[in-house]
Amino acid sequence: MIPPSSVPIKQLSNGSVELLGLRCGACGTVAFPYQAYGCETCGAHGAALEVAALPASGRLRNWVTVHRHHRPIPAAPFIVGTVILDAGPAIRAVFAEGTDETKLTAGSRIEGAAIPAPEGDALFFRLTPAAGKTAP
Amino acid sequence: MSGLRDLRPVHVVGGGLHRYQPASDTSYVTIALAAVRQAVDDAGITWPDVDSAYVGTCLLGSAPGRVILRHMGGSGLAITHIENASASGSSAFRQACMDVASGFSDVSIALGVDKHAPFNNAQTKTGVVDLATDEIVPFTHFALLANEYMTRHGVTAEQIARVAVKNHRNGALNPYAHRQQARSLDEVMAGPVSGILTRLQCCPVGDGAAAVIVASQEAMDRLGIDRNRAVRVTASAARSERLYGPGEGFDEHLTRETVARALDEAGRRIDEVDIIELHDAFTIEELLYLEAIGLVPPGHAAGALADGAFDIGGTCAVSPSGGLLAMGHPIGPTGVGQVVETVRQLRGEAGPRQHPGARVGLVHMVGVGSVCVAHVLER
Repeated sequence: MIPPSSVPIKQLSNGSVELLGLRCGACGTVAFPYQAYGCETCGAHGAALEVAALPASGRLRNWVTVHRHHRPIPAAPFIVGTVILDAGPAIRAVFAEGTDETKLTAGSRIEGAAIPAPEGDALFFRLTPAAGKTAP
Repeated sequence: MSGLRDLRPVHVVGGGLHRYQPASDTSYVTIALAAVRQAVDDAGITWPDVDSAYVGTCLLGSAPGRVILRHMGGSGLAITHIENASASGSSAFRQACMDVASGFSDVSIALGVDKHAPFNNAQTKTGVVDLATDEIVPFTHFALLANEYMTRHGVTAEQIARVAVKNHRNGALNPYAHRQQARSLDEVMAGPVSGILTRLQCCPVGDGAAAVIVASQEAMDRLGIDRNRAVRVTASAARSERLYGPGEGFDEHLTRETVARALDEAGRRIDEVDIIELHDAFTIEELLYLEAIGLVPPGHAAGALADGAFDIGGTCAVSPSGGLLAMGHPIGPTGVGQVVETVRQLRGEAGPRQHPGARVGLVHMVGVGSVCVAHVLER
């Protein structure tokens, strides 16, 4: 089970990150994030809902620079984007600080990484352009 | 499936507004009563003639309805509060129409009222945490859609910003609008918020009220209501978001489905609509929704806008009130105010904002959830 109110990611021993999604045993839907309330496709719940570890990689669908934010972290301006995971679901997340927006293109390969929060033990999930990989 | 078309006819017979304005010290009771009294006077009825009230509010807190309406005289009418996020007023109007159409009431009022306050979003309290809930607020959600739209169709930021130029120009002609100043393209393009969206391409929030009175034909006869100023509600449709595929623009799909139902119920094609008041909280929405409902093909809305097709006096006047961008979006009142504007247009009473020959109107709102509510009005 994933503790409530925690970011649904898992950092592996090699430093890579998996996203904790959901696979419905009744209809096969793969979704993100994991939740135990019920499948949004078919309504199955209980034992039908399994945690699915999804590789944090996919293709960029859209992105913008956010100029106004009501909290100090992340400090605006920062970039956010929608990534269609190789595993299927779409995620929206913040890009790593220092990402060059001019280098982002629709369909480009994107990966996720976990970075430690400035204070405490929490991890932030951040997107980065996949190094050296291009669209087929 | 039946709808208004299978029940007894419902007509809008009165409308009233309090100006949508920046957050103020004015009591919500004062604001609401101004709109209610204007609607009652517009209908030519008295308060005891009203059988039921649906009060659309999102931010005021519980049960403001009788707190307000007791000051019209304690008639004992049925009062129900409606909260449906940004579509609260639209849903209040829908319920008032259903009340009259079904025979539960002869005369019903839909009142929308709100004062600026933080939005208490239940979606953030489920215990399920996503990756960027705090960082991606509504203006960024729509900025992301704008980014994709521009990439897909080769539309520029300036072309999208011209929605705000049009709507601010309309708002400048509307004494009830929050923003009453015409703006140049350069002014609209200034003040970055998120992506291509700038301050004037995002709707203002504040205080406001709007009221609409609907009545049966029997009530119109009994009360001597002027039939020449009555506008019939020919359709009411409401839907919620389904699953549309990873990363798909759910607002557009939901709008397409809901408006299609409304037009089908009214027996109308989209090209027969003369007035559209839609959820233009952000400029990109106007273009996305006009394409979603089939007024123009995908990718063509910006070009049609530039050609004047959506101006007052164009092919179809879109957001003649100034829309959410200029008229404003105090939330509870917004959907009701759209009906007030559309009725004034269809009656030929819109003054300097009058779209010539307006006979059919479409009003549309979406709300966090997401939900969508649409109505068709005709005279």
